[in-house]
Formats: sequence, C-alpha cells, structure tokens
Amino acid sequence: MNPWAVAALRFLAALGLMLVNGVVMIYMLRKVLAKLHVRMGPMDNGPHGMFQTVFDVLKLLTKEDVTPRAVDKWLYFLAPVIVVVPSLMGYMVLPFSRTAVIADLPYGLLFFFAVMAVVPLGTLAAGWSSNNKWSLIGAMRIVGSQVTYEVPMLLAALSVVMMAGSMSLSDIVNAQSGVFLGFIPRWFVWNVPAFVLFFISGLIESGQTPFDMAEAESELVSGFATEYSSMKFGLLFLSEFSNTFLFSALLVTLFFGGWQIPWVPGDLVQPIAPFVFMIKTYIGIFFIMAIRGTMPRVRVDQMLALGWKFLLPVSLGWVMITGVLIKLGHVVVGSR
Amino acid sequence: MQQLDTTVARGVLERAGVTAAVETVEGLGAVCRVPAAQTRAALLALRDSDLGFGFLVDLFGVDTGETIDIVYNLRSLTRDEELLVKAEHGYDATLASVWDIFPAALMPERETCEMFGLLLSGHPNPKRLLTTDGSEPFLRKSLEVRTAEEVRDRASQHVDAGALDITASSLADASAPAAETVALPASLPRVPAGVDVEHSQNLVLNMGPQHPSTHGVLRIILELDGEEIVAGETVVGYLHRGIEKLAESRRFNAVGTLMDRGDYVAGIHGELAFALATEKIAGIEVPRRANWLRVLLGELNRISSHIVWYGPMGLDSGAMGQFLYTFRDREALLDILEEITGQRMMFNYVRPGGVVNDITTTAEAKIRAFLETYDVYLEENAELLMGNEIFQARTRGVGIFDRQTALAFGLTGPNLRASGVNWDIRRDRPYAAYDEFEFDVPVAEAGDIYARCQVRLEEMRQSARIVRQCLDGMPEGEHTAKVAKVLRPPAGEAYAAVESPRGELGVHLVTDGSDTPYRMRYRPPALYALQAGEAFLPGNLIADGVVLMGSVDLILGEVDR
Repeated sequence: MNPWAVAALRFLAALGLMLVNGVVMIYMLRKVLAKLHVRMGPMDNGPHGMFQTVFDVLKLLTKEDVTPRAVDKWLYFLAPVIVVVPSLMGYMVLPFSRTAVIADLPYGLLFFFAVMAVVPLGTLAAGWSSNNKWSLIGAMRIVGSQVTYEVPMLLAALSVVMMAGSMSLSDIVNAQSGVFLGFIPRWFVWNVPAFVLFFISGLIESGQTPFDMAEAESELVSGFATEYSSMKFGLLFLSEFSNTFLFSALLVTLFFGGWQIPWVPGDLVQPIAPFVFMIKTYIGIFFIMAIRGTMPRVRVDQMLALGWKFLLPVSLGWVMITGVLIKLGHVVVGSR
Repeated sequence: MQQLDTTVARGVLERAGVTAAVETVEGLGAVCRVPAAQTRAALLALRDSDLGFGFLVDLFGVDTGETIDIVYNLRSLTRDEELLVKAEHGYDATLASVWDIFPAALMPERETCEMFGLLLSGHPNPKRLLTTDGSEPFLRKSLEVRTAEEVRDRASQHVDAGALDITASSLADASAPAAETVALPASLPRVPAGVDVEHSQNLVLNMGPQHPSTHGVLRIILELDGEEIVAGETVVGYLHRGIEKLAESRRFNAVGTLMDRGDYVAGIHGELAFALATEKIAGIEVPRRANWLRVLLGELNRISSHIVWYGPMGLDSGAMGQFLYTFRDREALLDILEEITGQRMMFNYVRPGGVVNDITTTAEAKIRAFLETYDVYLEENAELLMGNEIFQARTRGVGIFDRQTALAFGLTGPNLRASGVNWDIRRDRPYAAYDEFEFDVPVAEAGDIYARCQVRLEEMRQSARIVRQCLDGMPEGEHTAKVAKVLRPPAGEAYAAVESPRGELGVHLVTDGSDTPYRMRYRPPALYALQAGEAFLPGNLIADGVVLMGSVDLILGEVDR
C-alpha cells in the first residue's frame, strides 16, 4: 500500500479517536459529576441524554464565530491550532496493542513529552492574544504551572524507563507482562513513589482539579478561553479533554501494563487489546473526574510550592534510589 | 444589659471638654446629645475611657424636620452597656468622619451623607455608596416617595439637596480642614482609600458584578501586582431599592414584606427585628406560643441561610460538590417553610403582635423527618469539606480578623465569634423566647476563615437542637395578640436587634403617632462584614480574596437594601 495513504489513514484514525473521545468524555463527565452530586445530569436528548454532547458539538459548529475587535488576530486564530495539533500528535505513540501503534518510535516517551510541552505555548498564545486581563492571568498561571510539573513528570517517568530499560512505549508495556508469585500483576505501579509523583504532575499538566488553575471557575471564570466562542472555543475545550485522555492513557501504559491483561498470555489478548487499553484508560479518567467532583482547588502559590519544594527534589531523589535498587536487584538475582 | 449610669458618662464627656446632655429615654436607654463640632472628641473620649464604648453598632441619620440627627449607636462589651450619641447637623452641614476612631463607620458614613445630602470630610474614600451621581438625598423628609411617572417627569421635581452636589459622585468637602487622625488598628494593611483607577501603575481588574463568586451583584475593583492584591474597592448598590425610604410610606403590618427583600435568605429575622421594634413602641404583649413559633421559624431559617453560605463556600474554594449537597437539605427546608408561611423566601410571616399562621401538624412531622436526615448530611458535608487537607491549607491562617479588628469594624454574629468575642444577642439580649431554650454559643479564637467555618457549622448543629426543643415543648395558646388592623403606635423611638445568621440585624424605629413609621433604620450586618472584607483584601492573592469575601457571608440584598 502507498505509504502516503497509510500515513493519511493513520492520521485520520487518530483524529477520529480524539474527536470521539471528546464527545464521549464530555458526556461521561456530566454523568459522573451528576451522580457524585446527587442529580441527574443531561436526560432529555436521547436515552439518558446520550445525544446531548452530539447536539452540543453541532451547536458549537453552527454558532456565530465572534472575534472581538481588540484581539491580536493572527495569534488569536493560531492559538487553538497550537493547542490541538500537539495533543493530536500525542496519540501517535500510544500502543493500543502490539501492532496498533501509529508510529512505534524507539524514543516514544520522549516524543510524547516533547509534543505535549508545546500545548502550554498555545494556551499562553490564547490568553495573550485575547487582550483580556482574565485570560492573561489564566495564561500566566499555565506557564507557571508548566515549569512545575514538567520536570518531576519526566523524572517520574524516567524511573519507569530505567525499570523497563527502554523509552519505547511498546517495550515498556512488554516489560510489564507476567505476574509475581502467581497472582500479582507485574505492573510498574508497584513503583509507588514514581506513580504518585507522575499522577500529581499529570493532574497539573491536564489542568484537572485540584490544580485547575488556568480556568479556576470561582476566580478567573473561564481563564484563557474567556474571549473564545464557537468552534475555536470547541477546539480549546477538545484539547483539554484530549489531554486528560492522553494523561490517563500514559498512566495506563507506564504503570498498569498497557493493553495487557495479567494472568492471560499476550497472544490471547491481542484481538481485544485496544478495548482493554480503552477500558483501563477510561477507568483512569473516571478517577480523575471523581477527584474533580469532590476536591477544592489549591492556591496557585501552593501549587508552585508543591512543585518546586516537593515534587522536584523527591522525584530527583527517587530516580537515584531506583537506580540503586535496580543495581542491587541485579547483584542479588545475578544480573541479566 | 446594664443600665448606663448617666452621671459617669457625663463626667467622662466633661473631662474631654464636651458639653453634652445625657439622659435616659424610654425604649432607648441612655441617650447623649453632643454638639456637631464636638462629635469626634466625644466619641474618642467614650471609646478610650473606662466605659469602654469600643463597638460602634450603627451609624445613621434621622431627618427631624428641623435638623439632621446623626446617631452613633455605641456598645461597651466589657460593661455590657449601651449608649446612643446624637449630633444635630444643619441641612448643608459637613459630617466629620469618625472612621479612624471607629473603622466601622467607613461605609455607613458614605451612605448617610448621600442619603441626607451632607458632605463628608476626613474620609479616605468619600464616594457615594449606594446611589449614582444625579440621585437626590432620598431620606430627607422633603422628598416624598414618588410614583414611577413622577420620577420620569423630572421637571416637576423640587430638589433639595443641601450642600450635596447631586451631579457629583464624590461626597468630599474640599474646603474642610484636615482633622487630626488617631491611631488605626495595627492589623489594617493599608488605608481603605479605594483604587485609583486612573493613576495606578498596576493591573486593575474589575471583578463582578457578573462573576460567579461575588455572591450576587457585588463589584470588586482589584489593583493587582501579579496575583497579589495591592488594593481593593467594593462597589455596591446594584440592588438598592430604598427599603428605608419605602418603609416610611408603608403601614406597620406591611413593612415585613420590605424586610424580606433586605436579607432575602433569612427573611424571618428581618421581619422579626421590625416587629420587635414596633412592639416595643406600641407596648404590645406577644403570646408565648407566638414567641416560640418565632424562634422555631427563626432557627429553621438560620439553618437554610447557613446552608446557602456553606455550599458556595465550597464553590469559592473550588469544590463544586458541596454546593449541590447542601441544596439537598435546603430544598426540604424551603418546602417546610413554604408549608408554614405560604412562601419559600419572602415569608411576611412575623407581624407586630405575633405570627400569621399557626404551625400545622404535617409541618411538624416534616420538620422531624428533615432533622433526621439533616444530622447525617451535615456531618458528612462537614467531614468532606472541613476535613479536606486542601481546604484547610486554603483557609487556615488566611483572612485573619483579630479580636480588636473585628470589634473595630463592627463585625457581628458568627464573624465576631470566630474572632474570639463571646457575644450572641440571643443569649445576651434575649428576645422572642430565647431565654427559655438551651443552646451553646460557639466561639473560636483564630479569627481566620477556617474559624468562621467552624463557628457556623457548630451554629447549624445548635440550631437543630433549638428546633428540637421547640417541637417538644411548644406551648398551647394563640399565635398572635389582638392587634388593630391599622397600627398607630405612639410617638417614640426604639431599637430592636435580632441575631440573624449574618449577625446583629437591628431596626431603629422612629414613630410620630401616624400609621406609618417616621424613620426606619435597617442595620445591615452584611454591610459591616463587607467593609471589613474590603479593608483586608490587600496582601492576599486573588484566590484568597474570593474565599475571604465568601467567608464573611455577604447577602447583597441586605448590603444595598
């Protein structure tokens, strides 16, 4: 098959997944929050309001696209693109099964972090170009938080990389196959400090409660997205949900064995591997949403203090300890 | 309450060189008349003497037809005494600000001046408070309550604005000599002079009136350095309906409807304060059952009001679940209130002489059923929010009002008790039937936002306790005294205060023997809380500012009246 056609199809698959994820997750968020808050959520459109998000997307698509006069036009139009494209690129390296990977790069994890680091640039552009004080404060908060989560998140992932001995996400998944003692899945989540560090940093990265600084509803109302309307707002919104999905997917890949089911040989899982992967990811998303429904928000200075004074030194220390432990393991077990 | 020894007060004022007449007036207690020019000296002497009148309960004006009386309602918490200081001003006088003696006077002074057409000197932020420029001094007796048509037909109006230039938004008297200021509370971060929007070098951010966490229509102008608030100014008046003026054209039975629209979340308390003041002047004996019903409804209303504070408190700090959990209780509560009074919020239930309806048996069963679930839900909610580490990190040690500050700014109710002042009108000035009930008055020492949360939570538990006692021991009898349909109380003056969920909700009533009040002053506890919040915004981050303003429990209907 023509490699260009393959590339195009893969791109369309990723795009489709991203869009469908967005629609499903918005509906899920509404229902999960509603259940947590003892209310019904959307109920009118379709059974249990299932088509509500579809109609919402239609509304966003057909709505008048208002461009405020005072905005910086180029950046204002470019910002949603800068936000969405890296988020879409993140899907490239996710291993849905052994073969269902858009691009199985040997340095997939690094690639993932590299593209995701561009997202805050887009939100900064959105906040800056909006020419609105609320947006600006929201955007500044995002930039402030990026320096807080980026390094600890990388270091936490690094400790997993050391355990797997590879930066390819497929290799990391493969390294988690099998069980200890006959029943405990051989997942990297037993590397608890790395998991906790990664989870907290990831919450900051995807802008989820308790770290939803950029659009702190009770402080900044809509934050960087204040001046956006119609599908441009839809894109910003979509990328936020997409980032949450990516974060959960990465969490599953790094710590919960990816597409694998423990106790079942990998070859048997292959036909349903993408489903397993999606179910695991959505369980992760459910937990993130549950946190969103109950937790208060930390203050912006408390978040920065958490990042610099706790996450950073602890993750640095843990990388070192992991290294020592791995070496000790080799000595005791007798090296590979 | 102790009766103030008038000779002692006279001695204190004489030593300060003030020529004052101190007498005891029926219904009011000790009243002291001082010359306008010596008001500051008199107040300073009273504050700093052994009498210890360090608490300004209220400041307002009364247009007597010849002069404008500015009334300072003082209280001494150490000696449990009260004193009214009255100063006569001419119609084009300048009011010398006493904000440095009693910071609580900051906003009431602005309001009094705009409403009576006086100028203001020595005030850090002499702007109109409730009205916009172009508004006449509404509380003057020469201005009638007008119909909408009369207002539209501007030409027919006679504007008698005294010294006030009604086209200006400033109340400042430029010609007044600068007065000597006295030391301000040490904790005050800066002089609350508002935000200089035109000359500020910092980012000026306009928060509200359409903002999710301003609790109604409050506008806060923030001067920001990064995320830190350098100066803050609150702009209120969006809900100003002139309740005090309207009351002058309503019969005594009908003022309750206006009071409901003041503090619209706890209407019973406003109605009750007005009914108590009327009963004091008219000498009406209220049946015991009516008093018990007032307590019952008052406490149910207190719970529903605290719920409306507690839920948004979670929302302000980012936990949206709290809001919806607490409204589960509030829904049941409003159904009960609706069954008893016929209305969910605008009750008009408490009238001079008693209450409108007796309680029904089904309502009693509903209240008991509600209390069962309420106890469980309250503890769950409390654990979920108050026990949360993040919430504690956000609220402990933030927005502190120490004891001195709380008293100086005229904070009352839970806000005052959270600062370590053990003062509850229900216990210390018992009204209705509160002396027959057993309840604890929660006090916290820290004075921070968390302490205010703790005090209010405990109050919600105590209210449930009072409601239970009410249901168990409800006496038999009439639910209202026999009162004339058109009340004409004798000429007189009285002050009655109730402990509303927000603090001391007082009504100062002046009557002239007619079927309408001559002057009705509504002491809004939320206004005093608001100015304290405003004064302590500087130095906080935006996020803290939001929680701070939420923690003092603002109801803008009451602030603006």
